Amino acid sequence: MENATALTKGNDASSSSRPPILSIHHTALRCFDAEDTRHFYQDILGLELFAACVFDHNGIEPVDFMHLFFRMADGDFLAFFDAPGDLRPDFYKRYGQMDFRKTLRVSTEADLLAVAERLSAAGVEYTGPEDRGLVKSIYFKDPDGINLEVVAPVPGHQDMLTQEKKRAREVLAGWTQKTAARKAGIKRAPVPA
Amino acid sequence: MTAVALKSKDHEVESLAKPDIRALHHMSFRCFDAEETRKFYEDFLGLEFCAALPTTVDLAGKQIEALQILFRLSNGNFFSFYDVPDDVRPDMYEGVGPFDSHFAMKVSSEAEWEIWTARLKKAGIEYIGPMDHDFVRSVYFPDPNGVWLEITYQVPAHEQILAREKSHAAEAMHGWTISTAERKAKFRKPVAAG
Repeated sequence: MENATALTKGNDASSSSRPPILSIHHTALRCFDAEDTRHFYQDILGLELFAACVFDHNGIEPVDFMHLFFRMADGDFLAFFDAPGDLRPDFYKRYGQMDFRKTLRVSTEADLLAVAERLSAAGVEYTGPEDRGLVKSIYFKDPDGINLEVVAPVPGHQDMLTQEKKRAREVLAGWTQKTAARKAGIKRAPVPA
Repeated sequence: MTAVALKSKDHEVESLAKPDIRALHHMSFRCFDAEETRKFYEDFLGLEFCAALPTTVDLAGKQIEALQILFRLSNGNFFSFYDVPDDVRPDMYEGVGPFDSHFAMKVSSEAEWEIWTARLKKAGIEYIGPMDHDFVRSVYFPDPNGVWLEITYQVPAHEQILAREKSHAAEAMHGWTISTAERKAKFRKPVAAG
């Protein structure tokens, strides 16, 4: 495994000058209505609204929109666009949990249950808590139908990840070999320019 | 789950404990091919490839064959991808632009951000930007699955700019809601009485 790591990294000649990517500063998703989104993320999930900025240009073309930023406790953001001239209320409803999912973290299982209680009180349906191995999870949707999950890492989370990492390369190599024939000849969408 | 129904329960929610949502744990997407995705996120972006988890049931309990792969960022968030070889969907994110959804990865300084824009160029990855968003500066580019990513850094005045924005966010929201209500009304489903 150590050798495999070294070889892979060695393929990238300039890896020594590759500054670390620290965190996901924000996710930015289209929403139908800024106030519906604010109500959900601020009043129910308890995030702080840090910015609600009105723009008439998105840097590519003229468009009226509001850009919302909610801040999480560790400092990063969940952001949204509300573009009333191009309303697409069903945009995220095509996606299942394995297609597109935003997963938020709380510190403890007690906190996870407290989030579930807030959802219940607000009349938001959720499923779980479920034991997902590394985490305990609840699943629900935001007002736009975006798949959400809240997780609490279980004790031993880090040890379990360390174990998984040891076998990850081998598992992936086997998978690639096993599934290659099923992907051969499938036409790819062109990568957007 | 209409806005009206939720608002009648506001006082009940308000009285409950409010635990901290600390961070994004992960964003999860479909990928065309796990190994292709690994090359991009590990070899090019330098994220830690930390798990490859075979999955035999989906969340609804249906039998499937899938592999979930996880990549960790320095501060502990993950990007997660599912490879589902019996339901390969190369068009999953077709027509999804950066203004529909994007995921911003933070680096620590302007100098590091400039190294990244140079790396994108060298790798032949076309990007949009740089764009100056006042509190951050950004470039945008798609991953091999059509997921739009951003590389960004916080300018030194990041917190001051946010504090200023926060002071008038509620007011801005109020004005925006009034000015856009009519354009949204026709999309709203009628709420059943009672």
